[in-house]
Amino acid sequence: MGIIRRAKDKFRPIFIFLIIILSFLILSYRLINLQVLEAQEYDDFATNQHDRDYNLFAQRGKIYDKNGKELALSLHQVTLFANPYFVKDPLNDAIKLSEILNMDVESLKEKLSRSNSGFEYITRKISPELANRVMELNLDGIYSAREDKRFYPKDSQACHLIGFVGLDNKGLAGLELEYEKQLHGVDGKMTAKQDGLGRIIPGTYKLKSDPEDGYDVHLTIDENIQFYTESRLKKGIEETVAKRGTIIIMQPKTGEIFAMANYPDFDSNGFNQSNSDSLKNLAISYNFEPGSILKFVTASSAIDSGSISKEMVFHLPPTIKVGGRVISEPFRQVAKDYSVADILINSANVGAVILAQQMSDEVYYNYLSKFGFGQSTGIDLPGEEIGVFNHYSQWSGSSKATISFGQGISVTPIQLLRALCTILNDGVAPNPHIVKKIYGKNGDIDYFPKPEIAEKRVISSETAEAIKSILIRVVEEGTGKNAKIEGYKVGGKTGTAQKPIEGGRGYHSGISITSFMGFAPGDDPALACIVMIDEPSTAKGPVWGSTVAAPIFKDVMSFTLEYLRIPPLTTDIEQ
Amino acid sequence: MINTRAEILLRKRSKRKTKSYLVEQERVKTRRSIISLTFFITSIVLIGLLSFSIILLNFQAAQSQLTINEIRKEINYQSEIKERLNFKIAQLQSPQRIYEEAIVNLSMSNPDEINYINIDTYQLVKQQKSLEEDQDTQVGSSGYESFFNPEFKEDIYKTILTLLFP
Repeated sequence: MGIIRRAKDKFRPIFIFLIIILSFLILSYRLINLQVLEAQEYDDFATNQHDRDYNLFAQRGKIYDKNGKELALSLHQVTLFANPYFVKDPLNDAIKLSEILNMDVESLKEKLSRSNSGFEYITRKISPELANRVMELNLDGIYSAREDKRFYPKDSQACHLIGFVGLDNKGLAGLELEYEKQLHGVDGKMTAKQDGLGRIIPGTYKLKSDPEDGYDVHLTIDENIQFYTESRLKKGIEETVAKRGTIIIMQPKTGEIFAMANYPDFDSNGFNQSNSDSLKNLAISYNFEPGSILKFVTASSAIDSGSISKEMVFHLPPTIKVGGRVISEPFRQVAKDYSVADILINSANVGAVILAQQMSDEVYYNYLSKFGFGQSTGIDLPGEEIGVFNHYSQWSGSSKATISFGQGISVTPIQLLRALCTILNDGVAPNPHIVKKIYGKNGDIDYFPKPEIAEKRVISSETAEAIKSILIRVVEEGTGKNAKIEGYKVGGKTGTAQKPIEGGRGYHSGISITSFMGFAPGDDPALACIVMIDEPSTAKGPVWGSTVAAPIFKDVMSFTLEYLRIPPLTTDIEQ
Repeated sequence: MINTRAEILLRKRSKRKTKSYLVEQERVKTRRSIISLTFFITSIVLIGLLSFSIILLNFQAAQSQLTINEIRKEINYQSEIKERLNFKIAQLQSPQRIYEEAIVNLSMSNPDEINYINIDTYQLVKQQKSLEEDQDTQVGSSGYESFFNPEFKEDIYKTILTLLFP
């Protein structure tokens, strides 16, 4: 017994010592585990629990017209949200909220009753006055946050150009989408510590990064020209009970667009209540067969390629058969001798076919391509269509003939206007653009129009001058007489195109697209304009580009010339 | 005995010396403790003052921060008001509204006719210069002064009117 006790007495301290050592090792392991091995994980966990991140929203840049008039701006609004966990009486709170916010009690009650959810929007972007009334109620679990809301002070004016933004202030259409990066700016970041109940601990705010406000975008659009153009287009469409229409006014030498109107339109402040058809910017995205308006391109190509001379006279029968298809003149029943000018002045289909026949398929195709058909114009707007223009290897026997007078090819209004401006710009294609400059908040210029497509020579200046003279004669003597503006020399070309049957072959008999494209003052054009009216109808009988689109062109062009104080040229007065 | 007396005297003297030494020591001690106490109290007072100044400065800083926050809030509020007014102005400047106001409320209408007047600026300047030269030679004053001469002004107006409405 004595020996055993002595042995026990001897090992007891060793045993205790071992237990202490073991405990120490376990504690050390746990300590290392917490402080070193899994430190980052726990640190992140604690940070997530205690720190709350906030976005400091950058203010979206404004959009101005060329005279500095605001077309789009952002205002501070308030968003109300709830943490249903802290809402004590959902029904009572819902009743109180619905009285101020004019919202359905049931849906509010349902939101406030979702106690498992930590966050529920009550309503977004309401006026600060309304939000203050709610916050004065001091309801538990109801909070407010500041958000910017986009406003368009001119409602539907230039709606297709400016576009709109979504609830998250990101551009969804138009310039708002195209220049999203510049307009949006960079949101700032801030953190603050919160207590166990999720309340912010005062004085724990920490700024991570300052918000950088978006840049202001200055357009080439003039709001007064835009307003008149839109009003006149709307009137023209209502008078002719047309389906849709578009007008573009452009400066031929610079490619600056002064107005771009579309109808039907929509209110930019309530775009979600509009139907999807009205949201389309027809000026850049409506593909249509242009009809006779394209004949000047055929004539330009034939002269510039050297296939014909501008003085040549052609003997034109009233009908011509090409590739198994008979092409006839709408008015002329007898054969006549027409010069190139006469072909355009009288808008002769057979004449256009004969002009095209003077060129090989390849040459004609190359010229049409150089004029920009089948390609984007590079305009700084999203959603531009390129039209339908097949390679000449895919042409049928009659393709070249029909394309010569604007059938079998689809183009957009902006492509057509660019082609006309090429003639007016001495044969060099300009780059259509909407944005003039983009300014930062401190006044630095971020952007000058840098077109993706470089200006390029399409035809010689001699050919351009010859075609320009012919187009002036079209208005003075030919189909464009209704576009004549007193005191000015005006040039242009009419177009009346049958509409193809969708999903079928051939064309509708009584449905057409009428158009007119012209310029003024004659010898040194300052403005070019295209008017396109889809499916017009009048009580007076058949509709033509000369009777529907030309008068609209005349009014719009007269207003713009007067507004911009562009007097008639001396040559116009002499005339 | 004499020796003894002398010894006694010496002892007495040394006792006296020791006593005065002790008194002196006591005095030194007291002085030292007074100095230490003074130093301690001064330190406490200084530390107190320093702490108080720090608290006061912090208090002032907090107050300034509050004022800055208030001013910032006010700036934000005024900026918001400015933005709302800008929006209102932009709405009021809408061509559509102005056009409707002009037509409906002010009974205005578009002009029936617009006339452009062609002015030959070269001839106008040439004529003006020759008139100025004539005036200079007659009056002998500078062209700048002569422009303010009523007669000269009248001549210019007549010339312009003749050119505009021949």
